[in-house]
Amino acid sequence: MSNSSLTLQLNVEEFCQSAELPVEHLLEIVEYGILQPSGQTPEDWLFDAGALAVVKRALRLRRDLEIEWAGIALALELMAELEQVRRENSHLQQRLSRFEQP
Amino acid sequence: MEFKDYYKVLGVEPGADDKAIKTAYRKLARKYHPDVSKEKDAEQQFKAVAEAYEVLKTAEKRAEYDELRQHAKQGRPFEPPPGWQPRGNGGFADQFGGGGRDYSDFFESIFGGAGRSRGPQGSARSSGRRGQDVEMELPILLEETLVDEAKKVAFQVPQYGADGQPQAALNKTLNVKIPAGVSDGERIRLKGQGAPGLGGAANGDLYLIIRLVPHPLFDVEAHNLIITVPLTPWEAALGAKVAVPTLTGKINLTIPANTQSGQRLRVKGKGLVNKLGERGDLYALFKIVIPRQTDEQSRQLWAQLAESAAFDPRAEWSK
Repeated sequence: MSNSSLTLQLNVEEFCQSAELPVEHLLEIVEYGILQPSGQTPEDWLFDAGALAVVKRALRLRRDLEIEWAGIALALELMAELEQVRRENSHLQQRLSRFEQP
Repeated sequence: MEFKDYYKVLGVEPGADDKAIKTAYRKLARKYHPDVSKEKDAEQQFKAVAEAYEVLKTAEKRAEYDELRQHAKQGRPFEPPPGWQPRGNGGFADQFGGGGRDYSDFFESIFGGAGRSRGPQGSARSSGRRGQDVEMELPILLEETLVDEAKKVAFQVPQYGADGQPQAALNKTLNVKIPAGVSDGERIRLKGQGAPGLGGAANGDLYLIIRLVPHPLFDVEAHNLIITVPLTPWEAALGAKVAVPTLTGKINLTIPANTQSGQRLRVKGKGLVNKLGERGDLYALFKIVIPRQTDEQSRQLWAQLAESAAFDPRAEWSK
């Protein structure tokens, strides 16, 4: 298996197909900053596997919690921050445990 | 089959109005949504809540459900009355994909095919339907991130029959080459290795989410590693040569005299690899350790040192 198949780069059409999302909604999602594709114009946009996970999460939140895109953008941002803080915290806990006596 | 009390699931009275039902759902959905919740069994809990709301939010389904609820006997298995025909017209297709829901057998027996969105991927827009994507976490040791690593991956993919009903999961194994320099949380897509598509449609994809396994010796900081190196007080005071493990064998580290606890020493290029093949650094972090027991001779030596050394580590406090 080659490396290229593992590094996902999807254009708008492929991305919408994978996410089962109409293109109009993708434009909106990008406008709200929920996704930041590489490339200047939609014709050049490329999305990675992380973006696909984010958009699926966004769609679930919209459907299940009835949140609008602006709210989803905020929620995702805060959740990402929380995840980061949790990860950092567990790293620091681990490092601290190497110094503290049991 | 057990009768599900959807009112109880949402924590509302059977006479609750639409607004109360909506409020109860929203509250519970926020609490248990698998994307936001850290609750135990969040996914199962959310499924139950979503199913209850799906039925109670529409007047038609709620009326049907209420009718059956009249006939359900406490503590007895539930069977739909003979000749029961679901009247609802479904309407479960999601405008925004993102994966439909699967419902309980109880739900299926009442609302059946009419209520089901046919399989896990939302509406059946056409006869063919792309297979479901599958995600799994893949534990990777730090040592394994240094070079491309062949890993055997075993996983299960859900399967659906032509009628959209779930079937037994399919066990699959794959040999995957994990590229060097992967980081924690990174996703790797294996195209077409998810659930099989239906009616000639494409297979879903498999996503491997990389999880770096915590190492007994090394801590990760971006692409750098940290190893905590215990030193004796005399090694710290006098300096020493100490053999220190790295991910790829031991190195001899020269500890300078007067090394402090918490001080770091950088060992260039012995960290993790990044995507470009460049290596981060290893930091030796020193921790001064005192013997747990002291014999008489050592005690006297310490006492001698205490008398002759004019050092106050708490000088800051008396300012």
